[in-house]
Amino acid sequence: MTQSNYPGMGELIIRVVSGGVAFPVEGAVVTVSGREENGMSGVVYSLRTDNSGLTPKISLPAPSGSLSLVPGTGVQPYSVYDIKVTKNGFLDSENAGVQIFDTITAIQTFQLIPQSFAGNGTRTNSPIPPSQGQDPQLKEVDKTDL
Amino acid sequence: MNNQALPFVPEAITVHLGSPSSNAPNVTVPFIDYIKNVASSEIYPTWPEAALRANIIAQITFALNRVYTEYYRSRGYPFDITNSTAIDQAYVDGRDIFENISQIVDEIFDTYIVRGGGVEPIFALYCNGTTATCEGLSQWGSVELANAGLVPFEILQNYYGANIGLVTDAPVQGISESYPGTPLSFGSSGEPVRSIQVRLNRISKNYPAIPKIPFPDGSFQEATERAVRAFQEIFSLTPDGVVGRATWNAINRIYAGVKNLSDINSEGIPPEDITSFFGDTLEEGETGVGVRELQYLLLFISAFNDRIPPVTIDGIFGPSTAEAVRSLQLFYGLPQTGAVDFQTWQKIYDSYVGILATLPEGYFSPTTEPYGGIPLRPGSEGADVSRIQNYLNYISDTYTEIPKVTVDGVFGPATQAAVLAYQNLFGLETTGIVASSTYNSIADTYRVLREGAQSSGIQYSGDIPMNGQQ
Repeated sequence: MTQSNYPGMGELIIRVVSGGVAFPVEGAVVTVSGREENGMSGVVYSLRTDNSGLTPKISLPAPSGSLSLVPGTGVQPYSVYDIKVTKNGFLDSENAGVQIFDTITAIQTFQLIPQSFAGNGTRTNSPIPPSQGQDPQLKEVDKTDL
Repeated sequence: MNNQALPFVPEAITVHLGSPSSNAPNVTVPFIDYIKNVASSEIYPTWPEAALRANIIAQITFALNRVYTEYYRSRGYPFDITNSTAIDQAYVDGRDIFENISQIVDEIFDTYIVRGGGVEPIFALYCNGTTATCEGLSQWGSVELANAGLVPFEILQNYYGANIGLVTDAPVQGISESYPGTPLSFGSSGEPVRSIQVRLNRISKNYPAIPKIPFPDGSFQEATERAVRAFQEIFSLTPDGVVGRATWNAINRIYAGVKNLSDINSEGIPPEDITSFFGDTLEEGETGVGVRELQYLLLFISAFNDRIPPVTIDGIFGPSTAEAVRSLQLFYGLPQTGAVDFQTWQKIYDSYVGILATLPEGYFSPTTEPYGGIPLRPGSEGADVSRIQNYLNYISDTYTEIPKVTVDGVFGPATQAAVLAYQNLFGLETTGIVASSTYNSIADTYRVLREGAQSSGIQYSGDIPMNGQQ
């Protein structure tokens, strides 16, 4: 792992399930990658889920928490990581843009979809959250018209 | 708008991932998970707790208002809310959520704002308060108020008026057990304790890291405390071994989720005489056994894929079944016709069998296999037939009206006679064919008899509490 540019530290735990909460997926392989903009590109953790579908809790560098306590700093107050999950029998799943805040534990859940019987190779169900700033959203007053 | 019914917290909410009229997918997620996602997307987890709580209550209220007023559904849309931040609230499908937010939501997801003595969730408008202002809560303003020492209710009053009130225990769909009002901990006893013991034991079947409570007798001792701690560790709650509101709600929620699939599997489907429905095209407006079979398979698949909304098994191919079919077609890259042609049937069947192949052995129950997906009838052969012959033979030891059959994997006249006798005895339509309803009934009966025979020792079926006397 290369040296990060961040002074803060957050935590991350990854939960891998199928069928809602009904079925924790044991033995899924989870890779966590950093981004060059964070000064830590490439895979920073490779993990495996336990019989509750959970990875161990890991620590990840994040910007200072004070950045998210006042509006208009113009600086993204969280760091961003990419996670990929693979497990035999399921479609691969990945999430680009997992947000880590200083002193906060983030929980990333993956709902794995079983591969259909005929098999479609590896199909990626990839929810991609925006990686841009997340300053609380603008809402228009008039919500009466669709 | 139809406001006849009292407001409730829905089990799940369907979110359109785009502006209302855009051709974007819908996703159906548990309401609690939806709120955790919205809160993690709309505000920062580093904010003071009073600000987090005030914002989360506004977000819950906003969503419940959309559901209660049927804002979108009454206009013909197949969803409850959108994730367009201009008109609804942010929801980022698949994103991470934050532990502190998750714990607050577990505690207060059934709390919402009303006005005066009303029951309707108000239209709880909010905006960020810097680049956008509105007649409602200011997100950044709530941080200042929290820093000034206001409690969540005072923050909400500041924005929505002094005459608001909070409903703190709205009925929750699918969950019958409401929080007893005070935390349960070591030394507590009574029915609420027994209720969580039974539920934890059931959950531990799927989450073996939770130790079994050997005597679910309503007395909160070491074993219960250990199980509660393990549960809290797994589900991101404070692991204090005490069942407060958040843990109580989480136990009930996870229990419902774990049981959900077994319930689907035992969904009663009236008997049928299916004549090669598999090759026929089904479309909106049709009724009958083929539609039931289709709905059963769709419901099962939807439990594993939140892009496919759950359907009701009623044998009527209505708009919601068509919507589920379209969602499945969208997911698998088929033309979105909403009709089930051969290609769509094949994909549905493949998905169903794929799920069964993926589940760990004994997932549905320790002693039976789930329905194979194709009705067994005279002339059928194979392992599925052998299995049903085995089950029938075992059942016939107790129900002697059912004739014994030879376990040969061939569905001949003797097997048909046993099936007819079973259907007759258990009040099913006497078709002599083993489709999903008859299969599930036979498997249930077999399991009950098997587990009944083994019920001494530390065998817990989970759903059925033991007396605690051994």
